[in-house]
Amino acid sequence: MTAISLLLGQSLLVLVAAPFLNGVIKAVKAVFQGRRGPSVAQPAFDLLKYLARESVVSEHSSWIVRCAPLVYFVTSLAAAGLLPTFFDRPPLERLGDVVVLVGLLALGRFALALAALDTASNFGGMGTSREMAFAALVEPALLLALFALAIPVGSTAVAEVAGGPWGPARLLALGALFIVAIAETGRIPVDNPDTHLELTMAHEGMILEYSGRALALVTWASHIKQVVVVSLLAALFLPWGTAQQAQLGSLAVGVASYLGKLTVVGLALALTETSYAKLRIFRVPDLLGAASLLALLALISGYVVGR
Amino acid sequence: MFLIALLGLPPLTAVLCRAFRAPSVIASIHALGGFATLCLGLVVVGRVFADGPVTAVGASVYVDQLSAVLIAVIVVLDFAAALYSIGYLQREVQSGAVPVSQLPWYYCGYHTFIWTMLVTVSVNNLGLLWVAVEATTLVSALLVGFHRTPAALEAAWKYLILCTVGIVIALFGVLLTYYASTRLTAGESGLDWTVLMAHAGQLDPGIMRLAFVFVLIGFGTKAGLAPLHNWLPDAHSQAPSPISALLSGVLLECALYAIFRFHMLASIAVPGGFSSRALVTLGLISVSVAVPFIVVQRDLKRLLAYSSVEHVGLIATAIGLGGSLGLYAGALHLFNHAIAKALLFFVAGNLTQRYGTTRMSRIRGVVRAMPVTGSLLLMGMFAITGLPPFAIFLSEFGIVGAGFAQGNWLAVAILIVALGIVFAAAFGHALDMAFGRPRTSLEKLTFPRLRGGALAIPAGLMVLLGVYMPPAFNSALQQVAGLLASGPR
Amino acid sequence: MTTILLSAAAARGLLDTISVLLLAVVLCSLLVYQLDLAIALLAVQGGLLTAAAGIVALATGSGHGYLAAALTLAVKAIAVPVMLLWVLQRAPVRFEQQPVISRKLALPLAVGLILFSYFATGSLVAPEGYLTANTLPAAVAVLLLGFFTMLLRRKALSQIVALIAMENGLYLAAVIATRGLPLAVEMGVALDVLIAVAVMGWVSNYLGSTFQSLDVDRLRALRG
Repeated sequence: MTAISLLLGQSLLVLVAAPFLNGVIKAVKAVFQGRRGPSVAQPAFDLLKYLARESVVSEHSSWIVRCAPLVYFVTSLAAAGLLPTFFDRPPLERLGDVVVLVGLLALGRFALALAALDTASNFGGMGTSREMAFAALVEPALLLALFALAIPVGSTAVAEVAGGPWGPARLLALGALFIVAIAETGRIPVDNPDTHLELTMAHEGMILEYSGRALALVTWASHIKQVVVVSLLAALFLPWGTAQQAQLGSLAVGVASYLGKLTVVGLALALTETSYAKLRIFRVPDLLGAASLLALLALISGYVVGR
Repeated sequence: MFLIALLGLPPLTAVLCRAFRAPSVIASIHALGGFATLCLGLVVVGRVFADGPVTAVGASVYVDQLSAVLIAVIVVLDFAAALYSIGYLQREVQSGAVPVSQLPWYYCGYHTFIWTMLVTVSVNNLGLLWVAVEATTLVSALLVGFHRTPAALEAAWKYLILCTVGIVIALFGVLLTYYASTRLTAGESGLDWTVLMAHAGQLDPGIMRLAFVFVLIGFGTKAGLAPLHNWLPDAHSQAPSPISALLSGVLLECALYAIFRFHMLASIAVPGGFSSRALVTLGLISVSVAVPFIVVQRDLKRLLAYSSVEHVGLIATAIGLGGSLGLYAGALHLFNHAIAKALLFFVAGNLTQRYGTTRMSRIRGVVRAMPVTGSLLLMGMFAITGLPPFAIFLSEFGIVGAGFAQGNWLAVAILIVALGIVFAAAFGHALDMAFGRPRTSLEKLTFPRLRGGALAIPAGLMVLLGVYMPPAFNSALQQVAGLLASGPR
Repeated sequence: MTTILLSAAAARGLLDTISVLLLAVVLCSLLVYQLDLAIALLAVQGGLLTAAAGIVALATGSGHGYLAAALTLAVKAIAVPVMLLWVLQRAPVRFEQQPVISRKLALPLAVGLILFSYFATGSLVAPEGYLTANTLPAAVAVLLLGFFTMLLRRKALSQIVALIAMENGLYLAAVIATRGLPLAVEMGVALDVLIAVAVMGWVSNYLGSTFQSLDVDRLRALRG
């Protein structure tokens, strides 16, 4: 009973928080760049606007294009359920661990890639090839880093991994996961979330063919995925303030600290985005390779030092 | 009382030197300050050897016999180098190498440098000892770079960086010692020498072993023990000659003093003679590393610098070997080396100013061109290579004897071979310089009489100690050896 | 007289985190080539050390602790970075150029050093007092990383920065393991650090004006 209400509450929180996190990051970037950005609620308004519009789909495309947004949305939301957010333990704890989490993210990406190829648009194909090339480097780094954290505690359950001791392995894994987070959220220096320029885009290229409700779903899903990645960082490296029991007071503290943590990590992402330029596409593997290297080193120190 | 005056005088002199402009006024303040320091220092040293350790300012200043030997070395060389500086700098100003406006800075730095060394050997707290050693680096680096030529700046930079890295490592050793001691005493006085020695037997052996390793690496860098000596030839060759004399004769031995303090602690706290073995090993490495550089050396001041590496190694070996003979010979050698090396750097200063170079191939026919300097050069070179009747012969003989007494045949073999080669090489260099045919005719150049007086102090002491050992000096050295062997009794 | 404002357990947790954070900052500064950013990271280290000293002071409630924290703030977090920035403004360089070895190689080597220090000192002293499992290894690792950074740097100014980082590692160990050194020593060390930075800045200033560069590779006249 509590698990179900926890799941509902957490999903609701994530659904609402997702567009606002994007808004906060955009606002912070605007401040750092010295301009007056849109309101924090603007991504939410955009979603509402898209939801009210009709979705137009190419007549040469198949059912894949119609299903992909749903798959992407559901996998992202399910991934959020695997993470502890404001409560000490994740609501879907029994259903999966960090490996399932990585798998869900990969499944969503796979669906989106198929859809982009299905429309046979040039931009879709280009975006897909880039996204998949990045993914081939990001996913091993993500898994390795998570394993490096899992080995010292002897469990792959997210809540257990989050409670591990501080040490070199954790430090290096943090470095690796931060780079992974930048790549997974499609941010500078890996990708540019603000433009549809063909030179720079990867993720935006894949969703170029969508409109109306389908676009709303895809955009919302990628906001949720961003929350998932940020929550993962927060859960693993800022494990403070989460609610231990299902009481109103501690839940309120938990929610407040969770929102604070989202803001802090979002701030770090925005800061990285403003202090670096977009990397040339051929240099991106260097950065992602560094993430794999850090993760590998974390794994080694997990073995050697034990933490 | 005298002790406080001794520690207060050099900074006062430094400030006064900075306060006046006229070169003659500054020079007289400087000389008077040096003389007063000498007198006060000798009084303090005499009291320590007569009545035992002296403390002042609560217990934060503590001078025992080991400190007293170092104080004696510092004040004697201070006075000699102070006299020598005056003439040396006059000549530098005349030749345009140093602007007059820089003179006050030199004298101010000089006395600050002396002060930091006096503080080094007389504080009770090993942490403050560290602070003072680092201060000597900072002050003397400015003096090494005093000429501001590219080479001098390069030497100053290397000196600063290498010695500061070393000293940071030594700080870790000090910290570990404090950690070991706070577990016992749980007090702020846990780094005081007197407190540490009282509890030396209970300190954690594992921590103290690690602490000694860090201290040996750290202060060993400062003392110029090979393979950590890379800064030393540069700094010694580029500094003004009186400063080179102080660096080589006193500063290295102050760093050795710091090592010996920790050695005394470690030899009680860590069973199995670990620190002695480490000292002997580093000492022998230093002696062996210095030899090839002395043989092929072309620069006079660098030759002397490598000779310092060799002699620092000898002293470390002597203390490491231990036994009453080794400790006695080590203490004697410390004193002898300081005096002989100071004399040689003064001579080198004269030669450098006369010939305008430190390249030995250009320094030829010294005996004819400068009879006094030339004969002192020969005398100093004979002394430093351990030829009788000079005192270094006695101490080196004692060190090798200590090797025999301890049955450390490897040490004996290395020492005999190294000393033999160094003797031949340095002797050859000295003869070439003294009697070789000069390439160019030299202009007439006479040095003021004061400068001769500066040379006479170390030269006289060296000859005297070689032929006659005053009983007071002998008993003082025996007290030091006893202290090193057993701790404060 | 003494009021304790922080429980020992909370202090331990915070100090443990600070140790690892200091290690992280020093590791970052190994990978940073902009001199101004390196100096900023030095100020961050100073801030972390101030926090560590402050936490120890809050937990022990000793006046000495508060004084040490204030001293750390003044010297390490403010004075030293400001002096270095002053030198940087007069220096003919902004970037560390032509790294001796690439970052791709430097990073694994640096991690190797970290693992070595965990391996070597991890079991040396049992955790007690405020000493946690990360403190001493992290301090030694910072010392080694600072030294490593120094070997990889060619500009005189970045060598100073690396040197101060080394000293910071020690200071961390001092604050946590022994709750600071005796007060007189602590003040002496702080004074030494200040003078050291001043003297080194002065010499590197002259190096800059004499060699038209802060490249220590040019300092190779003295050999043998």
